[in-house]
Parts: sequence; structure tokens; C-alpha cells
Amino acid sequence: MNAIKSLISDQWNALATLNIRSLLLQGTNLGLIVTSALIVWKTLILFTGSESPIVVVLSGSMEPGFYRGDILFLYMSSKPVRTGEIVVFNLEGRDIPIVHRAIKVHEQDDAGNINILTKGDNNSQDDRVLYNEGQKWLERSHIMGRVVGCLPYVGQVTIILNDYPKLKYLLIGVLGLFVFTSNE
Amino acid sequence: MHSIWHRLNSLLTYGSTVLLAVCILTSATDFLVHKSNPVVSVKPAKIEAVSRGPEGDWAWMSVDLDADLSSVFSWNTKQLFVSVMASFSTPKNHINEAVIWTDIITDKAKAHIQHVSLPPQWAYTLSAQDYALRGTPFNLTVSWDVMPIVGALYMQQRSFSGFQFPSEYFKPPRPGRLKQQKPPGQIPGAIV
Repeated sequence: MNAIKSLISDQWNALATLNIRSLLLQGTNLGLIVTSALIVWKTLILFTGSESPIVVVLSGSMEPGFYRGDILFLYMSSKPVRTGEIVVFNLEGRDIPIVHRAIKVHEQDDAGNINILTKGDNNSQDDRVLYNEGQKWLERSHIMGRVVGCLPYVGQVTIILNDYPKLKYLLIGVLGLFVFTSNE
Repeated sequence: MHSIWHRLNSLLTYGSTVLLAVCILTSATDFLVHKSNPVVSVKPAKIEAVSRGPEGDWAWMSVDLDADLSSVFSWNTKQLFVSVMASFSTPKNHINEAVIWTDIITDKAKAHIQHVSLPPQWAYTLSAQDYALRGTPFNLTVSWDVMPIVGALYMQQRSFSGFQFPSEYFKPPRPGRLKQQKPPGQIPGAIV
């Protein structure tokens, strides 16, 4: 208990003794962290060709392959989609992309026009019930990438933080405080 | 200097770095160490219908499938997603691919799949976007998507060619009675 008390008072003292010069320095440090995270993300986008190279599974429609909370890595190549591949697609007017398997492909000759039908491994019906009204096929423009790798459980953190926004703000607050009070 | 927070921070950073390295190495064994020798064959057992649908021709086919995929399993394999797919070329589309049957295999001991006259599985259909299935040659392909516990996925397949749809439309007197296999262990209506 004493240890925690002294910890808090340490942080408080550090905060109280901040002068304008070290405040600026810490601010710059924070900016550096944020921008380098942004650089890493944008570089990933550049090299994977996918607008969101890392996604978290939010539903059980691909169980037992992918569970809620798994992290998936996407790659968007110029190769056309073929059946059996797991693709991530975004429907017009929807916020959340869907990760399902291509089960039917019709590709026209030169124009490269492609019609794709998808289905979740754990669903008994194909995805026409999910598509927008009147939509029968996915096209090239809907596809955001193919799943090339997975990392189980780790995405659970983001799911918890999204389910409990207060926890998210608390975490950001605490981390922010540490950035400002740490002296390195 | 060496407050508990610093120690905790470096422990966490170091721990996750080691864990990430182990994950990458584990996935690498699938590609560098693991050798597989799958034995696969598939052929049409009976084409039960070729007919006109509202948007193009459709066909109904049962297949004979024999696939021994047990050697594909490694210590990092969570499951194999096995699918049988028919592919053909029509005037409208130079590539048509339609999955007609799938299975999820989570157990190495059950990775030798043998089916005679395997009926098409619900909700898969074999169809074209034009009226050109009659007399068209087609291939049958068995694909298995190897899904790991951690790391990279990969897909392998074997194709068999030399098959042809019948040259005339035909269907059984009561097409509604065409035998269809319900997918096992799935909850109907559970979407997303």
C-alpha cells in the first residue's frame, strides 16, 4: 500500500515540478510517439496494398478458423480473387468490413470485371442476405484484401476497450500522464 | 530511476517481443520444416441435371472424392478447410468457379476423406451467368486452406480435367427431390 502511495506522490511531484521547458520536451516526445505510430501504420498500408492491413475479428461467422478477438493480417495483391480464398470486403454504406470466404467467381475476359459470391465458414447460407438490397455479387472495388495470417486472442484488448469506452479513456489518460511525468 | 513502472514497462515490452518472435518462428516451421504428401483424387459420379435457370444455366452433380490430407497437418495447424470446386469457361466469362462441397477438418486422424457419390451440399450451387453449360468441358479441383494456430495461412490444390457437361438439357421429373447434403454442425440462420 505504501509503495502505491509513494508511486502516486512521485507522479504528483513530477507533475508539480514541471517547468515550461520540460513540458515542451515531453510534448515533443508525445508527438514523436504518435507520429511514429502513424508512420508505421501508413507504411504497412503502402506495402500490403490494403487500406486496413490489420483487422480484428468481431463475429463468429468464420469459426472454428477465426474467433472473435483474433487479429488478421491482410494483403491486397493484383492477382484476381479465386474461390477458397478468405477475402475482406466492404459494402457500400457499411462501417465494418466483413471477412468471409469466396465460394463463387465469374470473371470476364479482358475488362477484368469480376463477380464474387462469399460465405462465412460457420454460416449455412451464402452472403446474399448480407449484401445490400438487390446486390447479388461483390466486385473488385468491394475487396479490401486477402487474409494472409492470424494472431489469436490479441485483438481481445481492442474489443474490451471498445465495449467499455470509460476504460479506454482511463488507459489513454494514465498513459498520457506517464509520458508527461517520465524523466528520460 | 528504476521505479516499478520502468521495470513493469520493460518486462512487458521484452515479454511481448519474445512472444512475437516465437510466433514468427512457429509459423516459419510450417514452411521450412514441414513436408506433406497429400494424395487426392476427385471425379464426377453422376451429373443429375443441366438446366436453364433465371440467370443462366445450372447443373447438379455428385462426385467421388478421395483425399488423404493427414500429412498436411503440422503442430501449428488449427484446421483444414477443404473444398471441391468446378471450373469452366463460357462465352461471357472466361473463368467460372463454383464451390460445390466443403468440409472443415480439425483432427489429423479424420483427415482421410472418402466419399462415393457425394451429393452437392446446401447452400452451394453450380451455375453460369449465361446459357452455355451444355457440352462445356469442366475441371474439378480439390483445395485445402491450411489455417494455422498462429501465423501465415496457405492454400494448396489439385485439379483434374477432362470432364464434360452433357450436350442436352435434362433434369429428373421432380427436380425438387434432388438429393442435397445438409452441412454438418451448423446453425441455420446464424449470420455474421
